[in-house]
Amino acid sequence: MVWSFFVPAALVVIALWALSLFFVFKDSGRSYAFSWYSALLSTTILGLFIVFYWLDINRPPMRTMAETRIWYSFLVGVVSLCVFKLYRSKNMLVIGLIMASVFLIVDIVHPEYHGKFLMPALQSPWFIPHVVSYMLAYALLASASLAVAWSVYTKGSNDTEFKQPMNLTYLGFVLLTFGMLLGAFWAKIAWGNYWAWDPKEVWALITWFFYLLVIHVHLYLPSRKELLARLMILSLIVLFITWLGIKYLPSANQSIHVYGG
Amino acid sequence: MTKSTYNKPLWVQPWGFLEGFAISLGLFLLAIMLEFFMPLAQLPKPTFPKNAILLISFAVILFIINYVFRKSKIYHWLASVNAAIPSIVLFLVVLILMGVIPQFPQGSGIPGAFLNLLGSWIFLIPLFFLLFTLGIGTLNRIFPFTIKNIVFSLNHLGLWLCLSAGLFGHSDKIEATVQVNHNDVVWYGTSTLGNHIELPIAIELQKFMAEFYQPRLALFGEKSFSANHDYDLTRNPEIKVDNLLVCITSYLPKAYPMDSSYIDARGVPFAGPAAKVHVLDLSGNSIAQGWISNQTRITPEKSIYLPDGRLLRLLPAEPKYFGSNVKVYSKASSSVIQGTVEVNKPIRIDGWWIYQYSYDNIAGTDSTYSSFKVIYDPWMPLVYIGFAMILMGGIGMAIIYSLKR
Repeated sequence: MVWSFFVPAALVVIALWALSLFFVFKDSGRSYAFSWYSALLSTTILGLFIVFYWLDINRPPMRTMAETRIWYSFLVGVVSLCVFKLYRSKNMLVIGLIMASVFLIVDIVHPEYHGKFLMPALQSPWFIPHVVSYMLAYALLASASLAVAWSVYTKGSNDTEFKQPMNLTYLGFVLLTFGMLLGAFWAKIAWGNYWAWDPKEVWALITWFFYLLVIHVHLYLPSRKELLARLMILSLIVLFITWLGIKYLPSANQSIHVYGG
Repeated sequence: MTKSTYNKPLWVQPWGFLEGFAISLGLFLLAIMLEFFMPLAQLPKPTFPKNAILLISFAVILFIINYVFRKSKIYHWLASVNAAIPSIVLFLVVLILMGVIPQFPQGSGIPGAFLNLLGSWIFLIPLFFLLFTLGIGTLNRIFPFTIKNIVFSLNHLGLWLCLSAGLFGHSDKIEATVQVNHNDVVWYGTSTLGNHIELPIAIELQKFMAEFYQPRLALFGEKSFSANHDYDLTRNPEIKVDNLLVCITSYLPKAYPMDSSYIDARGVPFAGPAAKVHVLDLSGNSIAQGWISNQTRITPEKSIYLPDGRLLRLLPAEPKYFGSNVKVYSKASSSVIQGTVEVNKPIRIDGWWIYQYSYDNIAGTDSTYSSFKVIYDPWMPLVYIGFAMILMGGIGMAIIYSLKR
C-alpha cells in the first residue's frame, strides 16, 4: 500500500526543501543552482508519490482534506519553482517552500487515510479539473499574497518584486474563477443546481470577491500599496477559511461540502 | 482617488470612495428598514413574463443612463472604481453574514431575515447596487472595441448577466423530489417546502440498480474509530481497529440470522451482510467473538459489546453506484424517453432535468422504490452564457496581464 510510504516520503521532501532554502540563503550563482535542483528533486518526489498513490487507490486522491493538502504542497512547490526560474524571485521560493512544508507537516501529524472508496457523486469527469484548478489557484494566490505583503512591509523592495506576485495573482484569480465555474457545471449535473448557496459555496464566492477587490485596488489605486498588502493578507485568511475553516463556523452543519472521512 | 478628493467635504463633486461607502451604508440601513416594515419574503415574487419585463426594463434604464447622462458627474462616479469598490464591499458584507449565520429557507422581518438573507431586502438591495454599478461600468467601457475593452466587457457583462439572470429568473424555477415505486408511473412530486405539486412530466420506474462497497468495521466508545476499505472481507482478513485486532472468520454478503448464527441467504429479498469476527488485543489475547451484521428491512442490527464497554459494529455499506432504468413521459410534446438515470447522469426532457436522488437506504439493492429530483430552470441558459463570458474574459485577462513580465 503506497500510503504507508507517505511519512518517509514527506520527510525526505521536507528535508530537500530545507536544503534548498539553505542554499538559496547563501546568495551565490552556484548555490542558487543547488537550491533549484534540490527543490526540483523534492517536488518531483512528491509528484511521483501522488501518481503512485493514485494508481494504488484507483480513484483520484482528492477526496479527503489530507489529500487536498498534499496537492497543495505539491502545487505550491511547482509554482515556487516556476517563479524562481522565471523571475529569479528568491522571496517567493522561500515563502512557497516554507508554506508547502507546513502543509506536509500537518499531513504527517494528521494523515487521514480513508481508503479506496469514492461516493457516486464524486465519480465525475468534473471532479479532477475542479479540484486541480482550485488547488493551483490557492497555491498561486497564497504565494502571491505573502510575497506582496513581504515586499511591501520589508520596504527594501523594488517595483519588479511587486509586479511578479501580482501577475501570479491574476493567473490565480482566473484559475479560481475556473474552479468555481467548473464546480457550478458539475453541481448542475450531479445535484441539479449550479449554485445552491451552501456555506462552502458562499465562502468560495466571498474569496472570489475578495480577490476581485484586490485586482480593482491594484489596477485603479496603484499608489496604495499598503492597502493592497493588507487586503491580500485578509483575502488569504478568507481563502483559508473557505478551504480549511468552514467546519468551525456556526453555518457549517448545513454544508454538504464537507471533506470525506 | 486623487489626493485632492481626500480632503474635500462629503458630497462635494467629484465623488470618491467616501461617498461610495456612505451610499453603501445608507442602502444597508434602508434594506433593514424595508425588511422591518415590509418583509421581502411576504411580497409576491414576479414570475414570467413579469420578471422578464423587469429585467429588460432594468437593462433599458442602464442604457438610457449610459447615453443620456453620460456627461453628468454622478454618471462618472457610478462608472468608476469609486462606486465599484464600495458596491463590492457592501455585497461582500452581506455574503459574509450569510457565510457565518446559519441560513434557513424561511424567515422574514427583523431579525428573522438574517436567517434567510437570500429572501430579504438585505441581500436584494446590495445585489441591485452591485448590478447597477457593474452595468454602468460595463456599458461605459464597451466602446471603443479594443482588445482590453473586449476582455473587460466579457468579464463584467458575463458577471452582470449571470447575477441578474439568476436573480430575476429564480422565481420561475421548479424543483421537486419524486418517489416512484417499482413499475409505478408518478406525475407529482414534493417541492422543497414540502408541498405536493403536479408535474407536466411523469416517471415510470422499471428497475432500480445499486452496488455497494463492503461494509466497514467501526468501534464506538468515547472516541470512535472506523477501519478503512483496504481489505476484502471474503478473504478472512485481520483488521486493526484502534488497539484491537479483528479477525474475520466468515463473511456473508447476504445473510439471515438463525439461532445464534447466520446462514447464507443469497437470493432472499432484503437480506444484508454479516460477518463472524474474533476480537483480539494486540498481544493476541482473545477478547470477544460472534456475529455482527447490518440492519435490514427484516432483521435488526447485530453488534458486539466488548468488555471495556465499547461497541463493535458493521457500518451500513456505502454505495458505489446507484441508478434507475426509467421511462419518462412529457405532456408538452407527448414525447417518451427511455433511459438510465444515474448519479452524475441526469436525463433531460422538454426543459426538465431528472436526477437520481435517493432510494431505500436500509433495503439497499432490494429497494422497492427510487427517488428522483426533477428541476425546471428556464433561465439557466442565460446564466451559462454569463459563465461562458466570464471564462472567456478570464482567459483574455490571463493572457493580457499574466504574460506581462
